[in-house]
Amino acid sequence: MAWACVMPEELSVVPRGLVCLANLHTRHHPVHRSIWELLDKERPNAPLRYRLVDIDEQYPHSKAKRATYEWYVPKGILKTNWMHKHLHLVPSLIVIFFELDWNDPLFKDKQNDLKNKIDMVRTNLDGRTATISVVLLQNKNSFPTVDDVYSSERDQMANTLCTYFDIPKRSLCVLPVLPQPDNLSAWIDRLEQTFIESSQNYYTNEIRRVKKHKDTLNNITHQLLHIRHQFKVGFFSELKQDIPSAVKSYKNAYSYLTENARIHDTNILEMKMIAGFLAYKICRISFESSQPVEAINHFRRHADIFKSKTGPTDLLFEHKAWLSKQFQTFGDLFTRCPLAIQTQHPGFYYQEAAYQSMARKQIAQTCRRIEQPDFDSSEFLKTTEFYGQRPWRQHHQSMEISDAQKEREAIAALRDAESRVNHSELIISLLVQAITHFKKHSSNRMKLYLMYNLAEEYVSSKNYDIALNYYNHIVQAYRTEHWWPILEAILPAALKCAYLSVNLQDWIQFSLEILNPNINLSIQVKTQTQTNLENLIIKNIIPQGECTISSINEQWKALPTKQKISIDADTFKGLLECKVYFTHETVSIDSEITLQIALKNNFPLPIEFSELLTYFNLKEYDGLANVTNAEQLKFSSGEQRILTFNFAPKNDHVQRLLEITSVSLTYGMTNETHVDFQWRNSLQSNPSFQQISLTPKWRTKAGHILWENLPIRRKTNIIMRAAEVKLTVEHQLPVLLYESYPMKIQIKNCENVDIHSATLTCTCSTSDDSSQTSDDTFLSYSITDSNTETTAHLCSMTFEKIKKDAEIDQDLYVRCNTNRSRDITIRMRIENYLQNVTLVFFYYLIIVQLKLNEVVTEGFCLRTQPIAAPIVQNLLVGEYSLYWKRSSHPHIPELCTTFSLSDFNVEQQQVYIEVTIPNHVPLQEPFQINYRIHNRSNIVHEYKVNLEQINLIVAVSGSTITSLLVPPHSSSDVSYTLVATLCGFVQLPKFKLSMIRPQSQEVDESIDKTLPTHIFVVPSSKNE
Amino acid sequence: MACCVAVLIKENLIYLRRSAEELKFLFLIHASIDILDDKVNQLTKPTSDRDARDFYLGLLYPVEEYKIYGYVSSTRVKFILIFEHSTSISLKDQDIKLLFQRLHQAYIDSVSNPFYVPNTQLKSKRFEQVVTSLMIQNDSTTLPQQSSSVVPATSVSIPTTT
Repeated sequence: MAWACVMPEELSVVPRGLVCLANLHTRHHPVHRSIWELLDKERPNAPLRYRLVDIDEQYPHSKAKRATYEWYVPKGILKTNWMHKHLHLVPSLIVIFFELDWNDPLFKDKQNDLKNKIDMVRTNLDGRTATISVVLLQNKNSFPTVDDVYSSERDQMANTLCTYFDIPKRSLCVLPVLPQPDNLSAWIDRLEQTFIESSQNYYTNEIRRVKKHKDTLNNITHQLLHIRHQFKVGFFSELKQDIPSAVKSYKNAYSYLTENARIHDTNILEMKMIAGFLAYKICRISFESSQPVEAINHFRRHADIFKSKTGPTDLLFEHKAWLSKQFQTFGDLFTRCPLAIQTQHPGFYYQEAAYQSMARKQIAQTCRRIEQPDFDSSEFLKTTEFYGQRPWRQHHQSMEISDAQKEREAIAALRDAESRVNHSELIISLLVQAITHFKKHSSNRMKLYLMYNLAEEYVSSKNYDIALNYYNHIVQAYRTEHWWPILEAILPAALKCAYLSVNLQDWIQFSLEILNPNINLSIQVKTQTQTNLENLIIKNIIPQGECTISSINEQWKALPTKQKISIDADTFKGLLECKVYFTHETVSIDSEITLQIALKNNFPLPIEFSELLTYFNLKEYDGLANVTNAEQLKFSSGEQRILTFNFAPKNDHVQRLLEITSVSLTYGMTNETHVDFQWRNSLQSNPSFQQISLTPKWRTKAGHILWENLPIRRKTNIIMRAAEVKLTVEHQLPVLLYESYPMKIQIKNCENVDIHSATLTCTCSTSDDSSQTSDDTFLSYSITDSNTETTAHLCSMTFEKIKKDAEIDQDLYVRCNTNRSRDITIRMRIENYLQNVTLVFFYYLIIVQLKLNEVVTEGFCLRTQPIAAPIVQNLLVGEYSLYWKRSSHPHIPELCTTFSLSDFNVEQQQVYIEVTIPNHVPLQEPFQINYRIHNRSNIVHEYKVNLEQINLIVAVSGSTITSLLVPPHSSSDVSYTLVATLCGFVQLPKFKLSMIRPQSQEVDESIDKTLPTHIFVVPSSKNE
Repeated sequence: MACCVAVLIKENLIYLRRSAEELKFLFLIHASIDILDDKVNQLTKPTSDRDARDFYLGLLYPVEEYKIYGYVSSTRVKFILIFEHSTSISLKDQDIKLLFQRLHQAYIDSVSNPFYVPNTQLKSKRFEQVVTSLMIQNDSTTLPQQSSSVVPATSVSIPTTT
């Protein structure tokens, strides 16, 4: 039945026009050989295929061409030898090489010799219309130079020769390459051009000839011819390198086949095969012309059309085989195309090809193998003349089956042959190809699906070990992604596979996978699995299943005992869990380390482990947290238990980190085969961003610790014990600039022993990083003269001995020259123990103080000497010095802080007004106001005086405007009588003074400020 | 019409309903995570003109018998619908998008239940009803525009058991 999935080799060969080279003695003649090698060279897109032939080569006979098809009934679509014939046997051009110089002395003889050769070839062609070309190999010295290339004499000779040989003139070529060729490849290139032309002419004629038949065909009896002719036209077009015409013809043939042709059970195989050929050609050309979408679409349509055309039910496997082959060849074509993407790549087609083959295999299993047939099956399996026909009824085109008995025997023979096919091999190779492509397109999950198919296929072909590899991979992958439903389906098969391949490690692994509570298999399966596991490990009984095979059992018995099977328990989360917890993050060397190990068992049946071992990064602790008492390690299903261990840290492990590297729980006797569950990674605490469920866990039983809430801490730090020394500092902020700020440090020894050689170190560092220097701070343990600074921002001292329970007071003085905050670190080093006290101060500047926040004001009156100039600027006043010290520390020397007083401008005043006015006046009683105007200049002044009435509250009697003459250094008076009409603090009329003479000067406006503006009016005593 | 409905968070299946107990559906859904992830990654690439329409990811990958469609919510909850090849021919992208939107709405309603623990199996009668309607409904043209008209407005909280 193999034909259904046959893709003839000729179909995949790129058609190129065939040229036969005759009379070329490549073996003996070096020039001939170089000509051949140049022509035959592998070139991309070579248009022609060359073949060396003997001069007496026999070419395939040409059948007598039918003039009319009127009564002709075709026997089939395409003969099996047709493509081969036109690719390799029927030439489009025959080239005869011949050594002949124009001036050869034996020209006549040789000419006749050549004529005989041409005639022989012509006879052998037997009516085929291939062109015959003659290439004369000549001595290059006798070849005409550029001047006389077209010499008429030679032209004449050539013409005569052509006539004599009966060939067209362009079929005669001259190659001046003897005795040694110069630049041969250039000559050959030119020669090839003429070959291409002749060859294409030949195919053009062939196409024309085939097309001519079309008009004489009808659509009833000549359906096959329609397809055949279109196919031939396409094929010839390809030979002619006319790809667009080729694909057009193939598409015509394809659509005729799918739309017009009658497809029935008797011819379905032929139709499908030819359709497959056409689809192959169309897709291939589409891919090669970079139109993958076109190819994919055509193939999709092809698959959709023929998927339902299953043919006879007894030969359904044939249909599946054909479909599989279609997908496979399309995948092959697609592989050559670089334009694949994740959702569209050859892998999908190989996958489908594999599935079709799997379907075929399933059908094939129903095929009965006939050991001794009562018929000659070779008759039913021999090759046929036409593609896709049945050997026992070749050329049969009717829908009816003439010989039913023969048909039955034939089908039985085919089914027998099918039953002998090794499908697994085919399926596996297809799956592997598909996997490669899915891998390439980063589709790992799709790959898993195929790997599952592959594993199943390997199991069915009894390659258990390979299958087991795949099972391991996919089980792990699906477990990582928590796809339990798939695991449920895979695991029983995987377990069986492990049993069959006698792989103890994998068998245990898969058994445990099945026991995982996430796997929703029936309780019987789980119980059976655990019982089997227990039997094997504890009782050393080989596993029992629904399918035990004695030969396999023997192998199980032969397994070596005393094996240690290590299981990575991290991967069995849910089945068996472990949490480790150091109760303290740090442990001082004088206290005990407490470690809790929590175990949770979810085996469906009670289980008893033999020992628990804990391993640390520091080997000295290994064995301190072990349990070997099996009673403590007996768990019922769902039980959890916390084991607590206490042990002392080792003295030399101060400053070390103690870490649990692994926990191992052993199932089975350690001197027998046993399973070792090991936790490593899951002992890490959960990532901090772990999602916290907002839903309350109200289903928790009272008093029951929820497993999820158990903490994990697998590391603890071992540290030194703390020093029993009390260090306190007393001082009173603020700190003032330049002062020696006193701080009292109290040290109290609370240890049980005396302390020897304790060092007290004080350092200052500025908390403000931007400050450039820290040199402006001075620390000392004693009061130093502020002028002779020797200490800097660090000072230290050593105490020889501090007695037990003794207290030491030590003063520290800090002096700062700038005001910003500083950190002062006071550190005491006692033997190995270290105690730090860090103090942060904020510095304020306070000008005067007696007590904190108290302000004292001091007033002084200053008077200037008479001055000569009208204005004296920047008159210095002096400084204000303050001597001070802290009342709490009278022994610290006084500190002098000096402030400069600001400058003055002294100015001579020209005019001065002296006002005489009563303090208060009674209501509605006249009172006097007198303005005395002093002229302090050296010249006579004349003023205009005006008392401007603002309101009627204070009325003025008499004239208000007057002028006034004042001699130098004397004064004049102006008096007014006023009456107040309202009680209270009332506004006076405004006194205005303006200069009349000298005109150049103006009265200073500041004089207004010296004048009273208001007067207090009291109620009149008369009114009482 | 749909023969399989699945809801995934990351690569975890939180809801699955299939017309037949076929392993193949599981494999198909699992395999389509590859494509979904890829498409979601493309979604997160910044592009200026994006609207809600883009949550519909269309046909995921070619399988012979089935058509697999994907949809992703803004919180990257993935929805998958599988149709048999024969029934899906009449379906337009627009129709499938509407189906997804109904499914999405039903999902939102279910997870709004305060008793639902996030990222656990989805167990809700109302969600089941919507899924059932997706799987049996034959005439896609009569799809109601508002999913709320399918589900009764009065809501009953169904505590999930985890």
